[in-house]
Amino acid sequence: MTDQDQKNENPLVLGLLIIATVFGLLQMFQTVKAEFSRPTPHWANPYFDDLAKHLEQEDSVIFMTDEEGFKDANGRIHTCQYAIIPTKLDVKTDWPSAFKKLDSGSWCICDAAFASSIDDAERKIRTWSQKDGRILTFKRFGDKLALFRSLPPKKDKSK
Amino acid sequence: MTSIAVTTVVLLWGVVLGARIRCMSTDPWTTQLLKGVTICPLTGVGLLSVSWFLGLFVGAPIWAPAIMFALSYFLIRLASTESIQSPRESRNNGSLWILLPVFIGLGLTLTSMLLDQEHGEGGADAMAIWNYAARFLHRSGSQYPNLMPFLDPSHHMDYPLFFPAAIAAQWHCVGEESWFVVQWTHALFILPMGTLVYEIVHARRSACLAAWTSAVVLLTPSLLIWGQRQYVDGHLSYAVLGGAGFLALQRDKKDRNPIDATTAGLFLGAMPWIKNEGIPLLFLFAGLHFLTELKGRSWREHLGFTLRLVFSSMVFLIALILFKTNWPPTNDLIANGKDSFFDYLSSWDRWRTVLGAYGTELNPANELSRSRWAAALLLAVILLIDGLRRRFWRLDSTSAFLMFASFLSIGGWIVVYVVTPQEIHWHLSTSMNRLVLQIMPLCLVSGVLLCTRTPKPNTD
Repeated sequence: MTDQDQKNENPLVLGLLIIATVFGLLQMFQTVKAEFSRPTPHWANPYFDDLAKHLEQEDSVIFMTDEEGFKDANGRIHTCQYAIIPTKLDVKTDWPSAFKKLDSGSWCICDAAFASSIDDAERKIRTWSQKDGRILTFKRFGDKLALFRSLPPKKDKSK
Repeated sequence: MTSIAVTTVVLLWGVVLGARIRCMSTDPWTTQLLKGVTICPLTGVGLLSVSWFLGLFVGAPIWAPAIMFALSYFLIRLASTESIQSPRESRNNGSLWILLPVFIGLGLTLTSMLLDQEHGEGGADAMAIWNYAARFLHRSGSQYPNLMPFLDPSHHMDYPLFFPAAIAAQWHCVGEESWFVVQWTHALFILPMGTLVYEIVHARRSACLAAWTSAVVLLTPSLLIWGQRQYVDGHLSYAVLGGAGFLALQRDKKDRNPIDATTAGLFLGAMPWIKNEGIPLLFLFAGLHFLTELKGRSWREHLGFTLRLVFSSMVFLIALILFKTNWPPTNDLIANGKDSFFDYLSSWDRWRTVLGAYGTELNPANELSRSRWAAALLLAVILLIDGLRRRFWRLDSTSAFLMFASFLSIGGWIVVYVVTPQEIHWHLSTSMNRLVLQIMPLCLVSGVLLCTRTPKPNTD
């Protein structure tokens, strides 16, 4: 910067810019600190790799979760490819419609996003399956994840 | 495009192209480095995305990079003809003040990458829209055009592909869908934002003022957080500032430079290829430019400048036009009929709701607002008070252009919300702070230029 430049500068603006920078630095520090201390999402689960192995030969998997999705032990997130995401909608009214999409008989991975706990989630899935006489295969992985498949009842060919 | 070599060559070519276009003057090496840092991510990542997309579109992969090479070579020729040593360039004397935005930019890039270790998968929109599109491009390959119509509209597949296509290309190159690729592609744009602010302010003011202004812009928490969550609004704000800024620098008769004209075109063309909001902004800036351009310039000069601008912006606009005309999922904002558009426009309640929401967002007394905008808000208040105190603002041609561009952008974003077919409160609460981010650097730079004097040219 030349002397001429310095004389022509508005010193008030320059001084206040420096104050604004210091203020910004403090706010940025707080923001970053808050981001770092953001809790690890509930979906972080070491059992996910076991699940992934189990599902390797499947063409498609439905993830029954909320917008946070699942994270495996390697930090990979598994969500939107097949996820049923109730964003922008009331979760209470949207989950029933999500269940309807499971008619295909695909394997599903679920957490407790649509229930108060994984026990509650299992109860809901069993109720939903029994209601239509569906054949349910249900397996728990730890205390946060479950794998299930619910097939439609077989038609009685003798009739 | 099927080979790793082609992907790598295109990325490198883009970076070299940026450096070549910007570093053709007789500036000191520090200034040339600054100019290279400012534009290389845009040209590198941008050309990679365009060539990947064209490869899918044309169907003969080798043609896409060939087209890009031809186009970019033409750009270099365009910028290098009549290259002149402008008065501004002689003032860019390699000041050490550049180190301030460089250090802050590098620090924030590092912080962003460290944050990514904890929450590297991005925010909800990044997962559901941007990274989803990248995965779709990567996995579908040449089937992309055929599969496109079957996608769930909730994934907003009408969103442009600047980042998704560039990420898909890199995934192809490294052989896996690595989160690190997504994270570094986004983090790459933090430092250039700082150097861009510095370069534009320094073109008309001292290096000291330019450095502090870029520090304030970089230290806006929203810029870091949305970038780290892999939303592209911060990147759009970089292109918006570059487009309007380099156009504004052309206003001064003594300071016209074909290099800046080409650069302005690249930034303007990138805006709509980054995000849909760039489309109206492109029209606003181009309209403002051509309305004011007609005055005080010979037709020959006018034609030369316009051709440079159009040709350089076409690098990105070609891809955008092909994308929008061949796979035109309806944008939810323009899905409404003409009648409801005018009904909404004439509804006072809607205007009041939108203006109220902007007021709340930008009220420094609001704690949430402070945590998003911090220094930017403080600076805006300072500039307003200072401008009023002195009762007038110093309007040179560059400041005036940037001021009108800022007002048009702010007005445009208010109107968008007034006429939105979405539920207005939901729409405001989910996106307004990001739209403010898109134009925040532009508004701050124009405010700083308005409230400070133009130094006399250095005669040393």
